Amino acid sequence: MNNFIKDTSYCFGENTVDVLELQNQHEDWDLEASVKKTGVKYLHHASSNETSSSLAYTASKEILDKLEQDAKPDTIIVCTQTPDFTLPHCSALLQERLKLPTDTKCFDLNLGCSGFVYGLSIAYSMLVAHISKSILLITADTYSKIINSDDKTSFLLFSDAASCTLLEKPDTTYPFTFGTDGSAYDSIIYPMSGTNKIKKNNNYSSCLINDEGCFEMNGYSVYLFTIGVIVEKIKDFMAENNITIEDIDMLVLHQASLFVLKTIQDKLNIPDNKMLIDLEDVGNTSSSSIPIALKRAEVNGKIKQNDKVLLFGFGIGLSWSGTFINY
Amino acid sequence: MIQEKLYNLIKTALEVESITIDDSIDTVEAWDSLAQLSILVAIDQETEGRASKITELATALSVKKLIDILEKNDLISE
Repeated sequence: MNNFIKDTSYCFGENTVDVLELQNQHEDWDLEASVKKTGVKYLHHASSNETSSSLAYTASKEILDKLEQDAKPDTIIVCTQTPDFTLPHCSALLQERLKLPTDTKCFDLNLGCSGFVYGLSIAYSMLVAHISKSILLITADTYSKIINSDDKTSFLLFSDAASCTLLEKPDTTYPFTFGTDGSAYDSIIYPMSGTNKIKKNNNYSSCLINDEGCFEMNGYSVYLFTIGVIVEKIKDFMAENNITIEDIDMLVLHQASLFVLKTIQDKLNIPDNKMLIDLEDVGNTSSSSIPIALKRAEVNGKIKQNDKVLLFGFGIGLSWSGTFINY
Repeated sequence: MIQEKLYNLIKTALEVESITIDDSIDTVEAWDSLAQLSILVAIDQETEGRASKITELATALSVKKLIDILEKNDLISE
């Protein structure tokens, strides 16, 4: 049986932060209460020398080093919202650095927490259509470089990481689901990015946190979205594809925060042994969270090859994406 | 849900003994961003998932505003 996901690797930013040790810098923060809610004890921040492409390179090199020359991937898809440059695309930097041939298909996806499953769907389409034979789906973000360290909600949640997933054409067909509610686009936003650098109090009513235009997340809005919309979308996806809880070996959601995951788990009545939660030592790594959780679960024996896993990403956009595959 | 129930939900979420119509995230020390999430999830449970469909609730950081929004959506009565 030829599975879709052949191999996965990942890496974190080199600086590990113990959340509870931040007390000296932020005396007014109740860090123990925060850890209880977020589930995140350790954060990983990129050093000043590390970028999204350098993390992506490290993760990708680990996969490529295991492959024979004639088995090298012919396509690189990079999902990032914190690229080294707005242009050129990050995948071009990687093609050169990984020493892949110039006929390698390379492009980036500008997506956050829903990006991995979006990337899977594009890769799946390219493999099934015989456009590609073997694809590296890379996710990489360095949010610590754009998050204000006084922004408690975001600073205590996000880690810098990259993942690389080697994909080949599967023997079976897989269902996918997607959606976007752009009316809430400013619930998670980096307003001083891109070419439209609109300053605070100009057009962005949601720029609440600081005057410098750092990454901003309206946690309440995103929370309501996840417990309201996402729970219904997962239910719809399962119903449309005749998937029951019994059919699923493991539900692997975007690792947003412990509070969010527990609420979704309760609403969907998912037993603990089918709900993957892996935040404590990792943090929220945006589009990397699902592949990292999958790989760590495989290494820890929580999932194994051919297990049926339901993957669901959600976040920036606000957007969502899901699939149900054999691991 | 009656207003008294909402007050009880907020008190439980904040782990405080009393709360008034004038209280908000600015007047109660325990009412921080994490406590606000606890309030939202408690209201959502009490309304059987209807509250989480009201995006305006994301802006409700006071008892009065919570009541106003829930009233507007027929989820609370006196």
